[in-house]
Amino acid sequence: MIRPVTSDDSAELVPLFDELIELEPAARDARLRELGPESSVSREVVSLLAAAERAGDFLGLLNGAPPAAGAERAPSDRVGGRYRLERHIGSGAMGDVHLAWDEQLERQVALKFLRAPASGADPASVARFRAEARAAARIDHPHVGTVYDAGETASRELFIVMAYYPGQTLRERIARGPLPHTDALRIAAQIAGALAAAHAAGIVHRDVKPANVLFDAEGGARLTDFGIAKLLSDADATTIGVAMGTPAYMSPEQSRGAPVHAGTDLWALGVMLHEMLFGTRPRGSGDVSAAGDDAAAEPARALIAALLTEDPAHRPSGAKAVQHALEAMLADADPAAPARAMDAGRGALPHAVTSLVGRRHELAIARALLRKTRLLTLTGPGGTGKTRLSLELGDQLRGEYADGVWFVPLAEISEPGLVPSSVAQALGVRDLGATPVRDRVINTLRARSLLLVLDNFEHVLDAAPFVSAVLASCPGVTMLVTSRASLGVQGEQVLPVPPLATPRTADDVAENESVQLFLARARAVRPSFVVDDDALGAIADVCRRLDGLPLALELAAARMQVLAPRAILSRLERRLELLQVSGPDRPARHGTMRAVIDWSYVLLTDEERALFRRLAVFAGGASLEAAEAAASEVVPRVLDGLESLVSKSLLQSEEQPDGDPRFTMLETVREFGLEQLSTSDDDAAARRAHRSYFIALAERGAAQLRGPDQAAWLDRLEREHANLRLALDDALGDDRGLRDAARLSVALHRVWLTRGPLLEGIDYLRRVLDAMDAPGAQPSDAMSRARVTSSMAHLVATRSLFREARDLFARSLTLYRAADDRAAIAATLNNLAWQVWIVGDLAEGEALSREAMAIHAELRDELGVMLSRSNLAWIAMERGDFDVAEQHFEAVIASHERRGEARAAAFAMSSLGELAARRGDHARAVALHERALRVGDPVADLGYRTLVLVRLAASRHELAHPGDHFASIEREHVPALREFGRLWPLAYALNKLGELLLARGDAGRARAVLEEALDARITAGVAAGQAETRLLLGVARLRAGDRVGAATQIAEGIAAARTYGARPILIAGIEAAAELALDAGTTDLAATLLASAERARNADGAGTSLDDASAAAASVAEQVVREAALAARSGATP
Amino acid sequence: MSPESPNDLTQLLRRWQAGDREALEALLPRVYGRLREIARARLRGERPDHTLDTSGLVHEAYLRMAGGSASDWQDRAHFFAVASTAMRHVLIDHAKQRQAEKRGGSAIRVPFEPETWGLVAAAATADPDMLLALDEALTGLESAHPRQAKAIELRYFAGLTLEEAAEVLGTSAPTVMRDLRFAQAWLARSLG
Repeated sequence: MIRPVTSDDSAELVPLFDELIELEPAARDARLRELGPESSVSREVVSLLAAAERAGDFLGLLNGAPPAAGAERAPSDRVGGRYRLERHIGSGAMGDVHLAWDEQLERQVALKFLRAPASGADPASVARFRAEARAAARIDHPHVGTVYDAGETASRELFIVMAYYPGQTLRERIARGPLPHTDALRIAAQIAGALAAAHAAGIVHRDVKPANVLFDAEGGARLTDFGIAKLLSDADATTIGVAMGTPAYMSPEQSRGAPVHAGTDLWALGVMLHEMLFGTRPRGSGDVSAAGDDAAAEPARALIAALLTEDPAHRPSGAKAVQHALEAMLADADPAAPARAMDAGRGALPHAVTSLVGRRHELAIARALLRKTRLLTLTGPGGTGKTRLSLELGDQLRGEYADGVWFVPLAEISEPGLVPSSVAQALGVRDLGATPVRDRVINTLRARSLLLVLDNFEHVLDAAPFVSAVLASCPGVTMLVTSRASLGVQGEQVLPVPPLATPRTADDVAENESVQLFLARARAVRPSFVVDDDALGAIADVCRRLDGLPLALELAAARMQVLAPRAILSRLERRLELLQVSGPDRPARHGTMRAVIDWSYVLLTDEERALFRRLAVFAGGASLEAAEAAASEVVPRVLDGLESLVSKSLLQSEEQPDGDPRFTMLETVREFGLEQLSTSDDDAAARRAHRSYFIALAERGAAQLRGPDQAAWLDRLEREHANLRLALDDALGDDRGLRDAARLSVALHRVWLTRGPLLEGIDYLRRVLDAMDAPGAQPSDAMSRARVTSSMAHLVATRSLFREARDLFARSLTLYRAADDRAAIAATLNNLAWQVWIVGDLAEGEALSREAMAIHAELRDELGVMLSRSNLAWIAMERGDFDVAEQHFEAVIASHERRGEARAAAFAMSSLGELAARRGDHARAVALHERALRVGDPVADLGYRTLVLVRLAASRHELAHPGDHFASIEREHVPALREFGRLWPLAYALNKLGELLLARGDAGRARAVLEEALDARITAGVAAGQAETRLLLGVARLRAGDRVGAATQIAEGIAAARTYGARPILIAGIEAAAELALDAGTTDLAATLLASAERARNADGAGTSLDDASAAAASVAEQVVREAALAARSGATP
Repeated sequence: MSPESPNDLTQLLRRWQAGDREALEALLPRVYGRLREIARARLRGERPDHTLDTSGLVHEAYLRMAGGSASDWQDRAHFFAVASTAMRHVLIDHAKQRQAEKRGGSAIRVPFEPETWGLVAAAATADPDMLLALDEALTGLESAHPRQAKAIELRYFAGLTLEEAAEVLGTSAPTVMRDLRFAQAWLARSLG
């Protein structure tokens, strides 16, 4: 309780608070010591500072809001002829910033004057400044501060005009203490994205620091002041450093005055990330020591260390990679969050290629309906513009859903069962665990407020129950569906989208929507087009003939490149007549659409037609490389053909994240293309070409998935998911495709392992295996069968189903042995050995590992030898031969590090950390786990990474490091592992949690947790852990007052440990039995048991036999069980 | 309520500034009534899709009550000071009403309907329990640090900008910022 302050104190209190809150913690403490910590004002201010730290700006009052409308503005000089200064809003090293009014565009802007360099601004540097400002203005990125203008005043002052962001700078936010973990990662990811865009445009920022990061109205970070530092340093070489602002963010090369480059900005980003996360700046290169106790910040620490590498060549390559790493961390930090929701929750909506013409009426109705209903279906025939309308609606409604608007294209799938997967993919929900993807999607959406746009639902109408399920379980989700037919589920509101109105009289032609659309598209291909009355009349006729169908109009207008409206009309009429869709009765709209596509198609050259047909095969679009590969055998100049198809609106081109174009077809057009393909003689060849390209791509990717470019390759293969799926389905459906299916599924298994969908991957591999085993199947060679089996074993093992994995590896081993493929035999032996020892046979595991090691050695395969030694190390550790285990692990780590095998090295480091922990050396364990997290790459398996985090937290807990490590295991890691459905790490985490709860004296909860751990270990078939968990569970039951239940578990645990040959567990068994004996009152026996356990522990794995002691321990437990049974029987006798 | 003349308003504001407590008592209900009146009129359908914010209300109340008369900035500042207190009453009453509804009781009949207000200001949409607790804490702060408490009232309840609040308090925006930072720490501590 705080003593009420006297008025004397009060006078002192406020200024003291104001002073201290600005100081860093250390300075603050020093100042408080000066005052005497016991003085009442000190105590008062300390409690207020703590409250400020905790609550911050909890009422949100510190953001300076723009002045209210109508407030008077002080008249002032105009700058650059159009900007009227309103007030001074800040100053920095660069100069003063004013809020100004742009009289031409009537908006508020921020106007920054650049402090004149000492030497004055010479004409050359002014020119350079303008060029830089222009370059910066061209960086179009949602996280770059928008530059509008730049210039020079009459008094030769340079100024730059930017968008005005009324919020705080990042510097002000950091001044109030570290940011929440996910905020820090999100901001850093946004800035990394901004830098990537700038670097791609050839601009190095040179002055990345929190004061240059502003926030826009949606809370998105905005990096500002590009290129300004360069101007100042160019103009006045003596002021480098001073001019560039705080040296704290300057990279070593920049401080030395060496040339700067993209890596310079990355260093500064590293400093900034450190400051956001921990509230302080790092002390030098690689310093992340301040990072202290927060296990969740581990990967971020590793990234910071990488960014703060002295030698720029060793920093991460490119801002894009850093952005991806940060986004991956963000997804991990909040696994339920849609990974791409990071752009301030704006969701993912594809950019519409063309502007929307007309549709004001439909938009208004749809907006109103979406406020009242949660499922709105836009229906209408193909080509009527449903997709375009849904994009426009999504764009307009962005602001109304806290978690944004998400677009799910369904045209690329053919199975209704794949709808949940497509939604998951669009939301960035990874499907890696055993939980059905449908449930994962629903869980993710449960607490979200968003608009989900499902496009082209007509061919997956059977998935309507999924839509109903989402609506029922996720109250904040609204869905907008486009479909040729309604879904027919409860609560659905249908809005038919009619074609555009066509002109009825000569008077309404100019205003008519369909004429407007035609004109807009015509001007896009022929900007010089002048409309006269005759042309207008012809266009009106075209519109009528085409029933106002937007897609038909676009295709016709694309012809304006070469034809006049009149010519289009006459050709069109001939074509429509030819196809007999026109006649005395109005043509069916579908017929019209088809006829127009057909017309566009007939006008193509033979080559273009062949290309068009081949592209129709692609699901979800084609990259340039894919289009070239799939069509070059029929079309010599694919790129020219693509350009031509785009200009004729038969293809859309959009930019992929890596900057390459991607070509997609509207569903209506693609249907036509597939139809043409099926009647041409090119069908089989086109599908074969598609399939071979994607097999080659997947195999190329598989080879890269262990190297440095793995993240980029994973992204690329993930983007091609629909095409890969199509190729695989196609191969499986083809009588002679089995070989291709096998190659493709083997190549993709590693993508399924790391990115999912795991269950879908297992399903594909199973289908391939079944097809191979089917009677009358095409003969498949043993090798390909072996590879499929072994890929499937990997996936199954990832789900922690070790017995099934063991059997699969055993099958593939037999096949490899038959083919005498030495390398594959050795690799499979290693994998098999791992499953075998986990399932419980240490001796067999050792034998298999030794056999593998001998072959690897003979083949001079060092990596293989090390994998065998890693197995041997684990087996030794399980047995309690700690010294042997340690020697193996040390050798393995050294070898992996030398060869740059980051992932394998990380695995061995954390294993050695586990060994240290088992020996009780938790400080060493912490260091090793931290190292493992640092070297392990950001794409590492999430389940495994969580396991390392659990180990780390447990050791930190033992060392009483600051922070609640227990809580992070219980509330973060265990739920995450449960969600993934990874039994092995889950059981480990639960077991650890039970152990810690026992140590805390909470036997009741320990018992519940350990029961779950035991279940998980039994399901996974893990023998090693089972014995350990049973013993802990026994102790927990005993302490919770259940002596008989305890004895049963202890007896079973000791028996399991004896069969398994795990000495440390046996010792634990003897101790558990001693506790049981003590509880039963046989004190002498308890003492004897404890003494032998103690002796065994001190011997640390050396020879002393535990046979006698463990037999005695077992008999204690069995005795208790027997007595209880007797008592029960006698109690039952009347 | 009889429509007050701008002169009356100016008179009352000046009397209040000169230390006349009665002037404030005469002022508060008028401002309160006028605020309510404007809110109702606006929501009755003048601009149905236009959401109200407290700051807009306060500004409009001032324009109407001061009439077209060229009253000086000091009057405007004084008016804001009174209006922020009135606004606080409005919002606290609103919160009490919502709290009563939340608990299912209708024991207290507050003389206005929450939907009539439909304010979107932070204070109007905040959890009523939290708002009442905040009001109580703010009363505590008023006795220990009146200037800092007033800064909260101006900014949180009346939605004034930092510059406007500085004008009312006769100080600078950075000082208001510091006062708000201090006041929030103080409030956070007593809210626990």
